Amino acid sequence: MEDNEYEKNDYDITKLMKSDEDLPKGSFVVGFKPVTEKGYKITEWTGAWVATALIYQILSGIILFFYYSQVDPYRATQYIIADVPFGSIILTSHLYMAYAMIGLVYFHMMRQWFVGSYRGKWRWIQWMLGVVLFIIVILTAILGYMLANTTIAMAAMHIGMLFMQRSIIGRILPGSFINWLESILVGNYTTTAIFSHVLALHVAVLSTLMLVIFAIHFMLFEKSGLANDDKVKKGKMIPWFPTNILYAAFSGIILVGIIIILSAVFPQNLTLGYGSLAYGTFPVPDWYITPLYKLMDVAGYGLSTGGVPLIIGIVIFLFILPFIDRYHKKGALERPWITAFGIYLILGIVIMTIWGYSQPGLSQTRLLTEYLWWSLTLVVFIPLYAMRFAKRDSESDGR
Amino acid sequence: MDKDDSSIPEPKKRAFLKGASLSIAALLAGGASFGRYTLPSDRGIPVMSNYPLAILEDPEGNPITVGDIEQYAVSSDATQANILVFDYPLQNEPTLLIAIKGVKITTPKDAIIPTTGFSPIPPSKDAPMDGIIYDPYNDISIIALSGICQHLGCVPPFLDYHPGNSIPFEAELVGYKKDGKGIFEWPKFGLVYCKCHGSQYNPVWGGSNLYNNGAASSPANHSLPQIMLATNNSPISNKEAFLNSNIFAYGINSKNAVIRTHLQYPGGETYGPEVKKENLTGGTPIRTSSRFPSPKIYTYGDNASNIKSGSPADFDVDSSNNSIILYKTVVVSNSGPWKGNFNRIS
Repeated sequence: MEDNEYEKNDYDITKLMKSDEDLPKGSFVVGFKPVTEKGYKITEWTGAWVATALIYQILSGIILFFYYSQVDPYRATQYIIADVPFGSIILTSHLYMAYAMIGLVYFHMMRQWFVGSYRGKWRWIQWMLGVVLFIIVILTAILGYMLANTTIAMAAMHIGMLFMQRSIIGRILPGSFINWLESILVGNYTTTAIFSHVLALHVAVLSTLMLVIFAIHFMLFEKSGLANDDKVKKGKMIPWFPTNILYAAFSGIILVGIIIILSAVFPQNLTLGYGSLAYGTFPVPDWYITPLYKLMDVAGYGLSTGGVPLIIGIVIFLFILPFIDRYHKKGALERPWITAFGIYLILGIVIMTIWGYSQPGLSQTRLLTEYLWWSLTLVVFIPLYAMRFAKRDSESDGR
Repeated sequence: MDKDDSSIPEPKKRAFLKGASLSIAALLAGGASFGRYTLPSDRGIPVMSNYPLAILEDPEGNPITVGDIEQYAVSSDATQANILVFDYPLQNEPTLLIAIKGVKITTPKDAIIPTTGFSPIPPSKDAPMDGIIYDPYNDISIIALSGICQHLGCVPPFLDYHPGNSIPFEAELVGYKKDGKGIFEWPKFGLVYCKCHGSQYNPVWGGSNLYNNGAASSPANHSLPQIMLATNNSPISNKEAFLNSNIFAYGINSKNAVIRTHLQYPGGETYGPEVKKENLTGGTPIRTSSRFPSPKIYTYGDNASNIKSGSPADFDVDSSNNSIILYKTVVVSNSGPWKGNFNRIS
């Protein structure tokens, strides 16, 4: 080949599936790494499900986007359910996959928490981006839930705005900032403006942000590799293509299948539209909001002194967890305080969710609140330390 | 390909500085105009000069009368009340219209109900409260209270009026009973109860927040703002004419807080006389009516002679070039002929 000629086309695309070797110096490699047989465990693939859920949400969301209208959101939603071909199953599965996604994000997060796989290499960035993704996922879900313009959705909208105004966000930051933040959410506050803005945030702003941060989060994973690196080194490496991608795809398809079956069996019922009146209606928000909702009731010190700072505190704690965890030894029982906080968080979320669902919006007395948190603390710490001592004992007996 | 280090050119310092300064300058120039595009130009600008004078209509556009509303009046033994809602002062700002039979809603002697301890019925003056409609022939009080909860802004049907024999499930959970003792007694004429977080307001006390006077403390910081009502016939001259009177909403009782959604900015929490001056921003005005404002309107003034009357211009309402603009607002309900949606998309 002469220098002044074009390169020849290569029609053998199977070469693309061969692994890249011998890259020139100066290349930045974001690889898809091979793993050993031991890597093919469900617990190592919690992220793949979240990624599948994200892809499914994008695809089903695009279909819904064709039929949604921000001018009359409630009727547009009714129209999707009643008149669009497969509309009910698409909308319901979009909802249920969002539920699954939030549940799987929790599962993914708590798995890394107990294993301690935010330790080592650049995994601390991965963890921090994960916390950001967690917040974006919840926010996107809440905005999506507002899009139907049901009574409960608008209650969430009003409460969200008041949170911004009355909590420390609005009180500490300059007034123009909150003004700007609000106009991003609601525009000039007419129905069309509100839903144009919420729609843009839901389908474009937050979802794009989620996708971009997810890409970085994923590339960082490929860069740092599996947290249990020693196992990988011992076994036989299985090439990324096709085993790895197929494993992810198949486990993902199982998830999609489950969600579609559930949405066919339990189709979503649209609740009362905003502005309609029905005597004795109760506000029951979606399950992932109830812990927040109930926390406001049981924080016991009011919204701006109790609820909002408490939630901000929890988020900051999650965010800096890799720097709080200074234990040297591996394993959940070797990191008792971190494990205890993890269990505390799980129990707290479960209790708040169930409690919030059965008794929404019931203010609790401060005594009951204190009783709840302290008994939860005992429930978490006593068995944990008991198990830790038992482990120590068995180890010393063996010696 | 050549794998020598020298094949990768290092970015030159000057080129880097050029690129960086140019892009940052472009970013700053663009960013300066960013606020213009994200902040709507009508944001924070009042949509009306003052509270509107609005005639209350049914969903078909006919003015409703005092007699129409009295059909929805509930007595102390009612197990359910129809929710009646109209938007005021802006669109999508629901106001509860409550008609109670067998009680004359009077102004508490002290505008502020005690915030601690238990006081079942506040000491009151004999005169009907400012801005309510009291029918002396049938002993019915009609009061309009902002339907936006002062706690976190929940609206009907989460915030609604539960009369004497209708205790919401959540109120029962905190201990309210029909024959309860002391603070656990569900009041004779019921409460306006917000099911979002259990705020309790007593309509017979003029929408007063119960603070710590209820079975559970009410999380709201203020009482429900009262929307002032007037009729175009005097309540005491002629029964027939009075029952056929049209109803007008003409402002807000300055003894109470600002409507919750008008607390636009931090620190904007005003109540007392300033409430009247509070600027109406962040929304769309209710529709104007093609009717002429009635030449004279009557309302209960908070004075000894009871009745205050005058031309609409005497009531500090929205006007243009010294002429009063008459607005209209639709009363909707959860059932019956007025069944409808207060968030009417226009």
